[in-house]
Amino acid sequence: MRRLWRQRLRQHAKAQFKYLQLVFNDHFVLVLVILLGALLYGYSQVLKTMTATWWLGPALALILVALLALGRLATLTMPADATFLLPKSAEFSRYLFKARRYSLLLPVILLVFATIAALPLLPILKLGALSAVLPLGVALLALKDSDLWVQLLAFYPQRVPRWCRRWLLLIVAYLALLAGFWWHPALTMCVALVIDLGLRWRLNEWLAPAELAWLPMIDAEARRMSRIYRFYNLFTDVPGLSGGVKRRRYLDGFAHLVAKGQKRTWLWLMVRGFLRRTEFIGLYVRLVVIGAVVIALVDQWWLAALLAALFTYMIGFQLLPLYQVHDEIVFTYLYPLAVTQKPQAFKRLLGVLLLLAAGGLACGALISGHWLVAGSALVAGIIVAIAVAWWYLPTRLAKLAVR
Amino acid sequence: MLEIQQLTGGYGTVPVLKNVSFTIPDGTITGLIGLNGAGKSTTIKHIIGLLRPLKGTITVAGHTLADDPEAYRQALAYVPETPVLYPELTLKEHLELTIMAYALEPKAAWERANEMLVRFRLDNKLDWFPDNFSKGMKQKVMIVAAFMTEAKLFIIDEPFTGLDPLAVHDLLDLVQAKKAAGASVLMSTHILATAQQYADRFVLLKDGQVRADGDLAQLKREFGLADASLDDIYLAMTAEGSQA
Repeated sequence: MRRLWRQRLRQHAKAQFKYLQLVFNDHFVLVLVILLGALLYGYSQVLKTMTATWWLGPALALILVALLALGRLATLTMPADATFLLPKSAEFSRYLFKARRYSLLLPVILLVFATIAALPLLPILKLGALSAVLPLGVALLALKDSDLWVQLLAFYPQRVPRWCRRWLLLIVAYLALLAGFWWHPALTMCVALVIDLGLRWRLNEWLAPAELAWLPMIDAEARRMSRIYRFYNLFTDVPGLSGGVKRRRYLDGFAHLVAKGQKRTWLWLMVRGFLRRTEFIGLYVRLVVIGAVVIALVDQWWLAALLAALFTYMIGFQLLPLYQVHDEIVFTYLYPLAVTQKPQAFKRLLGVLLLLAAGGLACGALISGHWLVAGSALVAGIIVAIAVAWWYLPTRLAKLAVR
Repeated sequence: MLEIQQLTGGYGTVPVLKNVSFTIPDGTITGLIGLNGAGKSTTIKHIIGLLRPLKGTITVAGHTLADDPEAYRQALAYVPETPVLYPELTLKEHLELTIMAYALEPKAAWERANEMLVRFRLDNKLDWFPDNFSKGMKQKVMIVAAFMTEAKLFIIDEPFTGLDPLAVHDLLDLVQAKKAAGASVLMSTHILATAQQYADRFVLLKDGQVRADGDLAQLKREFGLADASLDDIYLAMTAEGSQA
């Protein structure tokens, strides 16, 4: 079992490394560094003006619970395991213990950073910064440890009591954090340690006689991996994941904005591709919303302009593959349409989408009430939108045509 | 009307087809017959314009792809061997797209389409994604899309695989209706009995060349087989190579 785990981990690490290399390519790292800088700067500005209000404690607790919920148990199991490893069910718990320990790694790093980030907020909550931050950190780690035990126990459903559920743990964690911010995080730490040690104490009792539920475990792992791959798919092509389609009837209104007619055949088709293929509209909306939120946190006009430009460029870049999604369909070559219609239609669609995105990004600044910031973000977004659709795109399509 | 003159072509610079010439007159059905790898699909890819000829010309209804690509394509409809559909379009939208792309008159085109949809029992699936249909149903969608156009030349690649017998019958009805309306039809197929029954003429391809072409009587004379079926002629043609 130990060999199997090591082998799986090596395979997994190799595959992930390949994708991470693609995700963190040069221009994305640049964007990340700037984003991180903007976030830290924004946070420090917010901190300066922050006073103790009633919602600060509950909000901080909510954020910490959300971070706590991140990080599933990575079992690295495969569909064939249910057949080939079935005779080894009894020994498999040792494999799962290893998997659980590995799954702790990333959440622990994340929670340590979260604790450090929460440090300057503690004095505002009238808690001693240093005396409160240590118990808070310990509490979060103990809660994550319990969370992963609960996730593991979910694969042995027979003897595990009904109350041993993940959502219940997260609610308890929220209440404990809330109480901790009210009195002192030492209280949270006590609750967390009681839960964690209690779980570990009863563990063998529940695990020893129970049967491993193979299929739910494999399903859970498949879902976890597909979430990860969908994330990678935001940045690069993940083979076998790209071709999803959803009907999205509620978006038909947008699809009907393009009137029918031979001259608009490509535009008509591409709008539907954009709205219904899984890889475009979700990403577009997400990037606009994230960008708007980031811009809302910024109050320097030049920083907002820079961010708006970056986000518009990124969105444009992510939409480029839409031009090629119909290449496999032989009919697109047979229609009696002018060859110039396709690039023109795409230019128009991309231009409109990017201008809308620029507007959406500027709205972020508007919500936080900065007219100047909103204006500069809008102008920067529009300039990039025009540059991408009317200048960058034609040169890129010309390159494609040569190939 | 399709005219192919001394067509030499294939993938890259290696010719698969050598000096292929044949004509399909208006109002006729021609069967394109040959072994796997004889060049049927390559011939079809040249006609629909996916491959460019190395030598020779292809004329559809008086147009070549070089001098008027839009008129050439307007005159041509194609049913591929494996159905190809847009995953993001519903059945209805597939037909709307065809109407748009070929600039058909919507009302008349929908009338033609609806008749075929009822016949193929697809009329209650207009809002579905045909990409999720079974192979036979997808094939029917391709047939409806092709036959609702006003093309002069219909190219049908292996139409009978995957269709249920009823649908094969319906397809042959459609083909004959188009023939009666003056269009020409080119069908590549391995189902020789059906081809013999419905096609007026045959083009027998072998190793990228036209071995024989004409109606059944001409083929019988060519092979010296007086009361042979298309099946016998086909076997005779394949045997020739092994004797030589």
